[in-house]
Amino acid sequence: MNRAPILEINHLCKHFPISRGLLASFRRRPAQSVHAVDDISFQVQPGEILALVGESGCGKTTTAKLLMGLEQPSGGTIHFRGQDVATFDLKQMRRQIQMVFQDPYESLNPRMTVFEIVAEPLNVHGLARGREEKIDRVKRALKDAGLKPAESYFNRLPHELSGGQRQRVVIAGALVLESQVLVADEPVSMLDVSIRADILNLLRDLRETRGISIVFITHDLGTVAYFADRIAVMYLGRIVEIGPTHEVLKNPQHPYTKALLSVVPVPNPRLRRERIILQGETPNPINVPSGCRFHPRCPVAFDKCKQIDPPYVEVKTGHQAACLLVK
Amino acid sequence: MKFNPRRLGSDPASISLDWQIDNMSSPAPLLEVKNLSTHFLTDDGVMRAIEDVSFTLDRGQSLGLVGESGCGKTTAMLSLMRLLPPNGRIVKGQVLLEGRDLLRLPDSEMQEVRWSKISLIFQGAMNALNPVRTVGDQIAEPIRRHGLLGARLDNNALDRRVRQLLDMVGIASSRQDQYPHQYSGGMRQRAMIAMALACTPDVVIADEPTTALDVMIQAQILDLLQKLQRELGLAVILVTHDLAVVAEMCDRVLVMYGGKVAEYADVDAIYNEPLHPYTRLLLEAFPDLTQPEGKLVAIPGYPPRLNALPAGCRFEPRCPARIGKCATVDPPLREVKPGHWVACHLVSEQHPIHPITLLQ
Repeated sequence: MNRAPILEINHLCKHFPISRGLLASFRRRPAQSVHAVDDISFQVQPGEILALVGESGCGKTTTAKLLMGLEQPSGGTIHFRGQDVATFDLKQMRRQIQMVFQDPYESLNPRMTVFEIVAEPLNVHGLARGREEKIDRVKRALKDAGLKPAESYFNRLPHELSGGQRQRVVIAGALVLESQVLVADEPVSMLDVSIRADILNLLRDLRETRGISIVFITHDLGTVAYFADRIAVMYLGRIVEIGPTHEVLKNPQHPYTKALLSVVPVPNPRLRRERIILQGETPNPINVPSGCRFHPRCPVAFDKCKQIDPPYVEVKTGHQAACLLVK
Repeated sequence: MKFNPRRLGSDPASISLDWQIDNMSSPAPLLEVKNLSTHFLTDDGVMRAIEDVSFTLDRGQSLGLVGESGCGKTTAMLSLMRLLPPNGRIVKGQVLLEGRDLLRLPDSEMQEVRWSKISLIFQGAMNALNPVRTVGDQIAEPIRRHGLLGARLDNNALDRRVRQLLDMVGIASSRQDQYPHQYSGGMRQRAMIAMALACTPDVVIADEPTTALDVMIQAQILDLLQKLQRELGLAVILVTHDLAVVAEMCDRVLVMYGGKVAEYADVDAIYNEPLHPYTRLLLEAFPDLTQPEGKLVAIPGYPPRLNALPAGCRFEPRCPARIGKCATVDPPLREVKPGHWVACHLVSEQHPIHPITLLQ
């Protein structure tokens, strides 16, 4: 792991201000904001799959948007190959970082053919010289996304395709620019179980063949186990635990990770386990709890947790957790 | 959350709910579905959506109904409730609830069965509630229409019953006058469960009850369902594509493929000694946190179109273990071991466990 990281995120923050009522501004109440992403740092190596895991509202999608330049960070930096992306324009950034969205039924224009959809990024970036090169690149992208023979898909419309095929078209659209990083936001949660494995295997193969790095965003720890090299568990805008997949799964340190792991249903009735069910829901990120932000729901919290925001503790090389109980 | 059915008084809103448990010793199954077949008449011809679906369900038992999208899970449940769209026809079969065939009841009696005997928790809690009416009002609606155990309730009693139901599912009763948009996803699903339980049904059908929810909320909802099942002696049919949820929740499992029953057995047998190739492949395709080194294998191809079903076994075109007669002869559903039913030519009575090697 001493190669240069392809993505380096340092103390990244995103706070969304809340518009106040007129009365509140007269009374000079302090402006409030939603702390969607609150000081997160991580690195992605070339050819690595990093999973960002957490419940709704933990900030994983906002992180994806920040990586894509769809939102401007309120603080912190994102470096791509050592260069600050704040100095890039959007077009430059998009050539390097592409996104695969959750819902392949909504993310394709229903009036464009598969060829037009996949060729669109080339037009936008003015990359293909001449029609032949364009056809060539589209063909290669479709083939790499597992749509073979590629030509037979050129003139099809999205409604003629199954969910799995649509997701492959979305992936082809991301591949056609030969970007180095793919941000995949729940790419299989809308698909049938029998097809999910196909798409996951495809993404894993792309890592092998093209050396792409993937930031994989999901709430499903079961999928992550098969797929990711490293896992970052997020809670209320903060990464509470990060480490190699097998380490985090076998030896979870943070109580939140432990609870999350215990409730993932296991497809074997002989392994029905004691589940640690956290009551209530993720608190509102406007009022982030003091001290450790997990303490109100934490089954093992003690007094100090209310005051001290726990720093990261290195459990093993590359495995860190932010909890006062971790030694 | 404390719910004690015995502490309730004499007014009809709080009729003891443990009456169901008293009947639990009756030998006949609560619900028996026999050879249920439903067709849809469409412009593209007759869609044989489900064919010869049979299962039984006892009080307090839970059945998992699994399969890919379009395999007939939801159609089977809508047929059972007689809630099919106008072009749907039940062409064969019986749905016996305590020995009474629901398919032969006049519409008015069937309406009494819905909610009071069998109720549905719908898919997609986000959209199943009416946005312009309060949650409490919506939970009261089935009781207003059907009464409670044959009695009509006045407004006070109705209000008490709604609060009791909310308490059962873990929602503060002070929130009964709020609107669905003020509820989170998990709370809405709880409200849907409260509504389904409003008229003390014997059977609750939950159609993908946790699909759109986060893992932790999913665990909360499943926990709640299990608790209610235990406490009220409910029989639950869980319709889902999530094999892991079924493994955690159910006693029996029915695997459907192309509108037919592929395998029907106890939950342990399905996961540890699956016999049908489709069941095996489904399990291979499902990620398992406890076996991260395993390999995920997708099932090639797609489920059959229901207006162009294969002549033989419906799974034959996708089956890696097919033999000659699979293409022509549809395998019957046979009981190969006590309580373990399979429809596959490769599994014969003489050799109940045929060594099928599916994957190299």
